[in-house]
Amino acid sequence: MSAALRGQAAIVGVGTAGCGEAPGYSAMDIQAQAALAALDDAGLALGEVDGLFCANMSHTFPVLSTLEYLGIRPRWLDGTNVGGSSFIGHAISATLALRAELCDVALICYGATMRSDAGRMVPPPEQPPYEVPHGPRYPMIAYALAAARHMAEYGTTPEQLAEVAVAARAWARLNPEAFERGPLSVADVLASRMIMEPLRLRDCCLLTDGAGAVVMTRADRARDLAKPPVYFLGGGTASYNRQVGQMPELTVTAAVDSGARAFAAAGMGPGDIDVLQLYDAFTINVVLFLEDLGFCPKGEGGRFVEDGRLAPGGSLPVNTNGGGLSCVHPGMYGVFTMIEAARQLRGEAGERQAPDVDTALCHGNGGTLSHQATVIFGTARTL
Amino acid sequence: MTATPSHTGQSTGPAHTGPDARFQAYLEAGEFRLQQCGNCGHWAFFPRVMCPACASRDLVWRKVSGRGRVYSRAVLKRKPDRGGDHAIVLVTLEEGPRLLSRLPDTPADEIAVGMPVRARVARAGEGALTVVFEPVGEDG
Repeated sequence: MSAALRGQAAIVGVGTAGCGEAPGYSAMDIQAQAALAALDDAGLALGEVDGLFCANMSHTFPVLSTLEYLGIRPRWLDGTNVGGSSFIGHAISATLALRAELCDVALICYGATMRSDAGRMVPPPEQPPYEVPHGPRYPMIAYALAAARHMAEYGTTPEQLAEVAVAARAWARLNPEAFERGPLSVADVLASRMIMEPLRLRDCCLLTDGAGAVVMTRADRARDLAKPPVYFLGGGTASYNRQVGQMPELTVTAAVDSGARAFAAAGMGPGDIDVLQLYDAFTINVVLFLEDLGFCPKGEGGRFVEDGRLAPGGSLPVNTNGGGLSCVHPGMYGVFTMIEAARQLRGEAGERQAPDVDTALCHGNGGTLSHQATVIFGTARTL
Repeated sequence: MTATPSHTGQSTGPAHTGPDARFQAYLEAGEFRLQQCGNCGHWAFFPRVMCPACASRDLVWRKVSGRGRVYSRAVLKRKPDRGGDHAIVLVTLEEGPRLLSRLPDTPADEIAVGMPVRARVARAGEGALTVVFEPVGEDG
């Protein structure tokens, strides 16, 4: 009965705040600004929020800190924290909670100010005890190892990884909210500093401040709100491991399962998807997820991303906001995939609007290739 | 301190020695031992109280061959005054488990995916003993 949630709930509001740099503001400040923006977008009042879904790396009890700051008393809380994919999972559990009438208005939100605070990615405090003595740098080590293995196993090249960054930048150049909007070529990516071989600076996501929020309601109510509903069509999650050393195969992520579950629930396949929002913490992620979600065969991802296929004008629009690579990346990115999906499905993405968008796939990666979550959204025409 | 291995894998050493301390005690004695499941034969790493393949509690500490191959490698690029290039590897042991580790005496550019390696016990700075690796010929 995995299709039981199809069309039962919808995103009715999205909002961002503090994206880029938000000096002088706390994570909770910009998160509240994003939440209010999302509620304004929906035409709902803060007092109507009775379901709250949060995760972050700055607070021990993110939902408690958030409800206290916002001054709300939700009757349903979900603080499931599985990394940057948490928010995609929250969209599934919010749909479930809405359907079960455990809440009527669900708010999913995130905010972080790592750029202004630490100036670096702040990983979770608890790290794998048998890995730490060898001096890995988290989270990058996992992605560098995965990229090196993918290269050794399938002949994937640095030029192909660079294509992912170049496509993301081409989209970002069309997005006034994107942080990095300068021109970027494959040669530029290859000329950027090697950070952790085989990954260069431009293979890595940004580190920005930023907050994002998504508001969901049951489908019947969504139809009466301010914007066209962005219907939840299906979702799935999967995880096999926490530590990168425990990953069964570095070149095969749990997106194989999360994606299959999401497609089964939505009654769709990769050919039915119009735009993809994939958590691109590093360029290799996009290659892995395109393979694991079934958009190309395993090992073919490098060739698949060549020739601007993912870029504006290409046949498969991916990360149309510029992604974590060029738009925004405040440590955890998952919520931003849904915000961009909603904007594309509503046709309000301006210059970067992809043509004829009725379906969008959002995919989140959590931990260090540890947790994968996939959700498919669609317009009213897909119901 | 050296814990005494027993057939059942139950510690006969200090009364409150759990699997992590047991692993470390073997390293202190110069032995690289991991837990093998007495029920299904699965080799487990990291140390734990149950088999992650079949949930059996019957884990037996056994010496591993120490032979494996580099499954992947990454090199943190650092300036010489910051310690220089730092290579991290994942090694898959012949017995199956995979460990994140290093080849401390091998230049980063000589470490290749697929190369055969052999384990040895080394101290990581001031910290605990760890298992690291060194290259061996194809015939091991």
